[in-house]
Amino acid sequence: MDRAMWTAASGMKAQQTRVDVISNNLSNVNTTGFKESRADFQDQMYQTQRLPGATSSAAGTQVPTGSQIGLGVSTASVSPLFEQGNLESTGNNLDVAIEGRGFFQIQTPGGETAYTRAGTLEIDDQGRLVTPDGNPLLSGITIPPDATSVNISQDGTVDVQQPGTTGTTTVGQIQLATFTNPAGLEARGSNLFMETGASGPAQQGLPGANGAGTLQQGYLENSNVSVVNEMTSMIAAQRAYEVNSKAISTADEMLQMANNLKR
Amino acid sequence: MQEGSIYTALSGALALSRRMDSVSNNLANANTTGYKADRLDFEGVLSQAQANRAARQPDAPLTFPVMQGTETDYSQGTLQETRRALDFAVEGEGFFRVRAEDGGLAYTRDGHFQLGSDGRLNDSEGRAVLDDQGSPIRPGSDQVTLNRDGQIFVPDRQGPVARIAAFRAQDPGLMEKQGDNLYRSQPANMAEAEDSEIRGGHLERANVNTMEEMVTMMDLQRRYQAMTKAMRTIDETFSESGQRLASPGQ
Repeated sequence: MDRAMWTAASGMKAQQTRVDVISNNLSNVNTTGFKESRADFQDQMYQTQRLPGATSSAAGTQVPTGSQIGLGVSTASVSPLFEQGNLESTGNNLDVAIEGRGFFQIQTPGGETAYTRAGTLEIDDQGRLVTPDGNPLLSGITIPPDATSVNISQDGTVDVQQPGTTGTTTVGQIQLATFTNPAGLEARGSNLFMETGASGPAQQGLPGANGAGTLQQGYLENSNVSVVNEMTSMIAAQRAYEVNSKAISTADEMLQMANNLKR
Repeated sequence: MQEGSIYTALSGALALSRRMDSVSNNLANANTTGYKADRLDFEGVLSQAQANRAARQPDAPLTFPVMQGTETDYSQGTLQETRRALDFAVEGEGFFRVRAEDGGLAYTRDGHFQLGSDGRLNDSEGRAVLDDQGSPIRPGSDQVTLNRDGQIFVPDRQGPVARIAAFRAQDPGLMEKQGDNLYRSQPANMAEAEDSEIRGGHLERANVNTMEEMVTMMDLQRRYQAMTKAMRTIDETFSESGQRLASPGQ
């Protein structure tokens, strides 16, 4: 019964992890470009008292089934789901959404390259396109101070209109990065993801090529969290937590009976 | 009353506590992808022993109930839609085949697959998922689609990348659970499951019926109580007869 208690405790811990992941998803339900995560579980090792198919007599008879008792559950992975979020029109010229699999490339203060789906861009004092945290886009695009309007086309070309000139001037093109296995990216917070050995190296490309997706100016990508799914998972997690706690109290009561054997 | 009878009750209590371990493991894995519940049925052994006594040797010594074996319930779990292309589920008796760390074959119902950085289809621990021929699958993209025959397609590529097949055990009793959602079996025991279908964008939930497990738990707790009561009664009876024998005048 000792075993039963620890096994059930692992079940409670797994459900706790699940609820942690769900509450992070729910709290980011309105975060631009947020990707929901999911916890997946696997059974732990088994104590094998007898192997299936073991020989049970000198005559060579085999036992039809083994005797194995499992030792609970562990978390296999908590990985993000890179499904496209809905695009929402904002009317802001510097809001850009990616429709496809690509990521914006951002330079962090530490000099590393980070990747994001949140296209809430702004212009800093040097005219650079930056994230709300002030980290510049890697493409190194500078908007002239006297520009009256900025136009970002689907292929990432940034055109500006300046007073005294007719037509527009192209100041650069936004590049996107794609990954073989985006689920292997490391979430860094602040809507940023970092490249890892599991994600594979970033492949740079222009919007519209290699499945990187096109850019939509004046739109933002909503988080892809489905509230209904999360609520359902939360109910399931709570119920599973309850039955596992019942298993612990049952095992405890049985132990108590065993203790009461000796007068 | 035989002196050994207290051990009969003890073995009953031990068998029940093993069963509790197994119920507890089923409940802990109630949300584990592709988990198959274990049944631990020693009652059959008990009644068989009783039948033997009745039929052949009424004076045979008491047979102690022992756990004969665990039996895994391989019935289908519910398929849940996940919106993730790399989630696969088997509908039917088959298992996915993966290449285990030691180079051998292992089987799983957990189709929560990932793409390695080299574009290879892996399980959640990074083991290669194998196609119908036993080679790794390299879709190179997480945008996979499956047809009813198990052929895997990716965008921008003509024809199927590979064909994934499910394998079933001729004798499911010979499959051994290994943890990590893996099963092992002799390759000779495994053959392609013709009537199984693999679905993309779905995961199979555990087939644990929590209500059934709760009832089993209540039932076995009561039986355990009865066994411990029996042990106490036997103990009391012996101590009483011991006292009577020691002082026969009373």
